[in-house]
Amino acid sequence: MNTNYLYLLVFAALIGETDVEVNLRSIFQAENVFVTVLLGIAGTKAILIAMYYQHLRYEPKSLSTWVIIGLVIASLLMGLSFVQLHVGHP
Amino acid sequence: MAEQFQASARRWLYTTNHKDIGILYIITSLFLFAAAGVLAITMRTQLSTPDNSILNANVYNQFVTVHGLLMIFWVLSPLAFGFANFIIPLEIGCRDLAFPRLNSMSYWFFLFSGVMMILSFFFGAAPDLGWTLYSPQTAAQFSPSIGLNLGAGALILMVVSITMSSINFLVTMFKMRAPGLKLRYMSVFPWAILVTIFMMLYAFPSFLAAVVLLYVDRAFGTVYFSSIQGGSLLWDNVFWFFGHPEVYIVLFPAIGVIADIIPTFARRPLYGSKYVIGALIAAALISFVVWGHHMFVTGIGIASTKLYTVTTIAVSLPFDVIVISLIETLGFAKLRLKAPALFALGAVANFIVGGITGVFLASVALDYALRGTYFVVAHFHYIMVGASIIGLIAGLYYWFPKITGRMYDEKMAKVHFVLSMIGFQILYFPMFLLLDMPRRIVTYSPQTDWGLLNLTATLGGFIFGGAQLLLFYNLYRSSRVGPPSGPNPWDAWTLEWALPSPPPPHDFDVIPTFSTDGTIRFGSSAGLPNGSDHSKEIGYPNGSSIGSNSSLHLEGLSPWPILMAFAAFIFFLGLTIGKPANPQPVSYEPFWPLIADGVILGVISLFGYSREKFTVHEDVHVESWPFKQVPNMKLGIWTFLGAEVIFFGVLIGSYFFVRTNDAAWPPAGTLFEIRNGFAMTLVLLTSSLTAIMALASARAGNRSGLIASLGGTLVLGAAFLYIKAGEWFSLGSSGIFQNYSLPATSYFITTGTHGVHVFAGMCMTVYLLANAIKGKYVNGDQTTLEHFGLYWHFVDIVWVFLFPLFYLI
Repeated sequence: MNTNYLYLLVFAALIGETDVEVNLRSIFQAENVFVTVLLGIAGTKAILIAMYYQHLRYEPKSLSTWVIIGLVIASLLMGLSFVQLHVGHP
Repeated sequence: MAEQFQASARRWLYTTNHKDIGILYIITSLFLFAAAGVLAITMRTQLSTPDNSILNANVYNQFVTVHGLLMIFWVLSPLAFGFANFIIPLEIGCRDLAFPRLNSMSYWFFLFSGVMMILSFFFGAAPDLGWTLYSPQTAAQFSPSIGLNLGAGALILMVVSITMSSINFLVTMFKMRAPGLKLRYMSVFPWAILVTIFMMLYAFPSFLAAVVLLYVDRAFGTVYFSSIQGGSLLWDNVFWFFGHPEVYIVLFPAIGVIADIIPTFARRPLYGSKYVIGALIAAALISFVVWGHHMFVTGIGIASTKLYTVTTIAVSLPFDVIVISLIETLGFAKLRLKAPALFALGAVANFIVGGITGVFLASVALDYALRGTYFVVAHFHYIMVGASIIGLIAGLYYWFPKITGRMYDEKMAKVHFVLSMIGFQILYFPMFLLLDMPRRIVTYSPQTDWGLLNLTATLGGFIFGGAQLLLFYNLYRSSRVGPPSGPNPWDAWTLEWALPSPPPPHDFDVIPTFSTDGTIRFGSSAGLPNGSDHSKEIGYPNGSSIGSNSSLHLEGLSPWPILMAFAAFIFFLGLTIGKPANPQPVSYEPFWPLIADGVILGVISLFGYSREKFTVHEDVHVESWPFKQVPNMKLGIWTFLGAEVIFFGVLIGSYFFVRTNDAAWPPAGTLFEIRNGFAMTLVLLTSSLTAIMALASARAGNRSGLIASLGGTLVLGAAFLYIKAGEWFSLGSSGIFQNYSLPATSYFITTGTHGVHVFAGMCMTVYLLANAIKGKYVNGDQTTLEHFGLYWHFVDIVWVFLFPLFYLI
């Protein structure tokens, strides 16, 4: 596929997903589910940008792994802080 | 004479050579070691007898805090990175770091950050809350002195320096190893530095975010740490997430030094070296999940305390492997008890005591009893001073001949060792017995039984401190009149010893090649393994002076790194020395003339930096697994973005923290209008499309397409900031400012930080556009465009998360 078309296709997907995000509240009433789905969509948008606009899809796997390590460490901070606040309290 | 001075000044101010920069780091950190040591001795004198009044509480608190901050950030790591700068390129067989000018900038940022920290004493009061800067005492209403603002500015500059260094070393060590030098063949010192840098890269951005949030709380009245929902627990998390890896960040280089020294002087290879390297990696990874053990008494919940107890005990296990390996290496060895070996052995002994007493604190019950007492002070000084400083002093003696080409005075060094170890034990061991004495108190009553132990500790402090004068004198004198050392006085096995002492400015005439049997070859002449004098074999100019200036060296001079660092220094000075503007809540008016000067000088320096012809060659015939196909600059940018992930991760994590801790958060759409967020998202996503189209146009040789796409990116970036500014003004006109509430605080600071990133990207776009109009990029090299794109799309990704978090939930 012509790379310009691919870039446009990715752009269309990003805009479409953004539109879905804005209209998602009417589908999911439960706050936890809503936030989870919303962050899931944001995650897929980020992956699309990283894979196709930052060309991570075409880079060696070692580079993707390098990026993922940063994400895992950031997630650890958020995840464990959340556990501190909300898990195991009487 | 004047010409000589001018040449020397030019060399040391403008140098980009890794060895010069290493020497600058070492000398600066030793000066700051002396400064922080004087603070410590004064504090010990104050505590030597009950009801002493040499220092009042206010000054004592400043001394405690600045002593801790200086030792941790401006002495231990910089001393280690002085060695790393000098030795690592020599040990892995490359001629310099990947980005020499960035290396120079790292040093000057570090130096100016240290100056700023010391300056804080002269602006009202220095930081005075302990190195942990616990919230909410750091809030402006409780600590109104601008000294703390200066301290925060100094810490920000210091983290910038460390981040630049981390990127530089990672790219160098991954991408520029001599042919045949696979990662698994590297000795423990380079490995320890590599693992340390990994921790620095991912831990320090958390600290940067924490200090930025602290600074905006103080300067702009935001409420991250003064609110109940954030407060001390938020600070504890973002600080200790960095703080515990930091302990290993200052320890690992010393372990690396020791693990290079002990085999050399025991004349035996390191026992289980691969296990030692594995242990370092394991400890580094686990270090990111142990921070909660610093928070056992904060009420973090049973599940968390259990988790952190397990991870804290787990993180001690790799250190057992390291210690056993070092002890096994000594078994049946004919040890040569020279000063480096003595200090290395002393460091191991101290580390065992400090490590075991640290495991005590993994127990929640013991931690409850011992927390905040002198037992803890003793424990971490056994690690920080007993293992790290003593270990690094071993390194000073070990590499002194390589750095200066001269031998130090061995007898004086041995006296230094004996006095240091005796003084150290007398200083710190009594503190283990002061189980009930709170740390950081300025004095105590005679009714306590702490007097004798404190007096003993103070006596030890004077012995230990006095012993260090011998070190300074020995190093100074020997560097001038010491006997020539020759290239390899220790018969050591690592590559740096194959070069003359000191090494020539360009390090290697011929890049060496490593064979699988451990042989190192220079060009066609085969070198001999294990400590032979390669330099004679290949004809290096022995005895070249450290002050010599070869043409190769002079080519590497650049004035821009020091100017950029100075610009940042006066910019932050302007931000932090302003007078209080509001009494309640306290906020500060920045000193705008200095800020303007900093910006102007920064722009000039950046322009000069980008225009300077400074070529760094990328050698293709090197060992560069696992990033063989990734160019150095691209790996550097991705590594920088990795650090940015943590930085924004902490900002977003802080938002999550306060948000999930606050039941009364306003619903979506009530504070920030969804249509604004939606519009900004569309604009920024479109700008990502134009940015990638710019690259595609350049690759297709389409100049007008390139200019149009870059212009589009610039306009869309401006449109994004225009909508954002409109939203801010609209909120402001409704009385909603950054200090209005927690939702407003988190919104203004997080989106503001993102906005600054967008603005920086726009500045880059202007530069690219100007070049594109001149016809660049369409005829070959598009790497600058590609690198810009990586940054711009990252900024877009951050917004992809901010939009739902701030506008939709």
